[in-house]
Amino acid sequence: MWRRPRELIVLLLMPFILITILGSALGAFNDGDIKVDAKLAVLLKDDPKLAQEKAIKEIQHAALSEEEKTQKIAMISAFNPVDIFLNEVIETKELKKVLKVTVVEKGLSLKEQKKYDGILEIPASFSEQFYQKLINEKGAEGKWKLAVADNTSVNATVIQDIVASFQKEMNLAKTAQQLQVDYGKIASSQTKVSAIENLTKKKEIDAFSYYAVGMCVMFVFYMGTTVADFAYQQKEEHIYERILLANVSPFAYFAGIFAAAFFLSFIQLNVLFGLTALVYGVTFPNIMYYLCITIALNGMTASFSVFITAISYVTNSRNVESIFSSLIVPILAFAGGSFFDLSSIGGFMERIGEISPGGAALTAYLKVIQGFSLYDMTEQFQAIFLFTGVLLLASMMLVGKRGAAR
Amino acid sequence: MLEIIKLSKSYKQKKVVDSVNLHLDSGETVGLLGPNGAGKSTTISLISSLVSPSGGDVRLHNESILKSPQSLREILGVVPQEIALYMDLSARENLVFFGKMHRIPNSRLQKRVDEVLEIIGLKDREKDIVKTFSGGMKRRLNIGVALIHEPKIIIMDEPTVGIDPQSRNYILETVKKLNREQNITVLYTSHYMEEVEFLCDRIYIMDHGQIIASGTKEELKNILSQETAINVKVELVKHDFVEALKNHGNIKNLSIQQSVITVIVPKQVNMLKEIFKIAEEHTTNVLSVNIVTPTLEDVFLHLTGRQLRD
Repeated sequence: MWRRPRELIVLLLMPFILITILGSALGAFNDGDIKVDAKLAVLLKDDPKLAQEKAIKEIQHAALSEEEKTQKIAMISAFNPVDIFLNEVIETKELKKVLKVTVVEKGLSLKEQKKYDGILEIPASFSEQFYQKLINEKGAEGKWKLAVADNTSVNATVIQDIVASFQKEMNLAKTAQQLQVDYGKIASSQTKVSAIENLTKKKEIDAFSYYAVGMCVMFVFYMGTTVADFAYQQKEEHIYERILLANVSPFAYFAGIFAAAFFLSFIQLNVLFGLTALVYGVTFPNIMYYLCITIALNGMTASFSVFITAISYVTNSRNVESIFSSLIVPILAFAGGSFFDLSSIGGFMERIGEISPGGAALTAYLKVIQGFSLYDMTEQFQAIFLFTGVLLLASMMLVGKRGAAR
Repeated sequence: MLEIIKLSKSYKQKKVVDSVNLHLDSGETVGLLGPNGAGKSTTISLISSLVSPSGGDVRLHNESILKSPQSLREILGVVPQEIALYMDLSARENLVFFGKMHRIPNSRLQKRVDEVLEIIGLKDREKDIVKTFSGGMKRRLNIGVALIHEPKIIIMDEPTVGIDPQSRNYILETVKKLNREQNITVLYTSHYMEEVEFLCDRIYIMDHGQIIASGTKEELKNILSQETAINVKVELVKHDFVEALKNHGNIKNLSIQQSVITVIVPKQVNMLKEIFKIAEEHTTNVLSVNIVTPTLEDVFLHLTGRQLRD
């Protein structure tokens, strides 16, 4: 590699220059521009107070011991999910910043519905059914119905997350009550809602961090095409045939390309991230997580390289590498959010960004910077492993037993 | 040792190699002669198992190697027509790399690299990067790489293309030495008649994918034992004169090299008088006339109707 300074410059210096340019030029534009302003209408058909009173009366007239009656009444008095949701959870300081809730008691017209990102319907008999289930473990359980306007928008995601998290907490609390375990005052506890966590943490990503990751993820794919280019040169110069004649199997040869691309991209990423850490202070709080993503990304890059090599060997054409480096890689970089933060667009593009080959790696790296756990990156790892597997499988099928020698 | 039986290869219905039969006995040097596009390189690729044939068989010690070519590859060195080397590595690095590909143990490899560098005469340039080498030096290293694993058979596909006469002589001498001193069996393809004449015990002549003649040099020349070659040097090669010669009933073949026209005629016919007569009719000045024994070049011309370098 050091005997080819041009490639060295392109793969190491270029991304660093781009990080500098994009980080400083777009920093002001991008920093902290993720604004969530979700509007939720709660269609309250239920009367929780009445249901609560009814349940207490039922217990008072039931054939139970006084001790049991006191215990159950205390449980019902302390546990009113609708009230907790409307008067305590969505009134928390964190949620109020991002969610505006309007409680309505009758159905909204189509025009009115359009004003909201989501409509949550609490059915008429919800609380009654809830208490019946809690006291007697009888009957069907009432369910909240949430309808969101645009399933893929950031606002809708926030609302879905909040409702889902709340329901999860309620189920836990209900179980605790039934088992007479002191779950604590869940209604007044600061329920952690993942969406809020995400949003507050996302704001911590500055432009240099974003573009350091974005450019590294983009240029690691150029490492893939560069290795594929070297490999094709070996075919053009008949070195590949010489290697086959040395009784090296085509699969071993392609495994060599994989190893070379893996090793070189590993060095490239570490040099680039090392430099950005030194110059711009972009660091990963958890080195183990960083290494896990880097290794997974190196594997995907290596598979990408093997795949390009396999196509170019089969088609006997150098154009394949050119198409990938001048067209496919920029498209992947764009779709993965290397040029700008796709979450600011939201919707479909954001989703593509999160699961496209580059986007998955980029999202995972950003999550490490934000302090997420590996578990939170499961989807990104799945996407990376899936692409790696598909690329390797396709390469094996292309190369075949004879190794596309001629 | 190595037997090629009715080997064929077709690409999109076009037969590039057509029922080629050929054999190599241990320790001999065999030439495969033919013009560009005759199918020599494809035949080599087929023999060395890089390309699968459309028909026929390649047998090593009476066993087919088509399904498992490993046994042949272990004892085969191939010198491709192209310079198949890493240009950014040094001569030694190239030899070490390919030695490792052949799984030569480290304990043996460095010594073997030194031996090969001696054979190809590049010991003093072993650390230089290949791209700084002359064409002849690259060709020598190209041969060296094929020798690294001490092959018993070596196939050379036009190893002297595009190099200066000195390097060419060095390569030819090296091939001869390898055959004589190390008893390496050589299959040497070329379209240079003199190289094949210098090196080979037996020769196969190939054209349009087929072997059209084979035998020792003498056997091949005997094809023209009833003929004589006459070289006519003229001041200016005139089209009319050449056509008149071609149309003469006793002239079997005709070729032109610069101002020398070579005609193949039956031995018993006195053609000199006729040639002078035709020259006079077409106002062509004849500078000299030589009657020579036919060469392999003449044999090729006789068999194919064209010259090797056509």
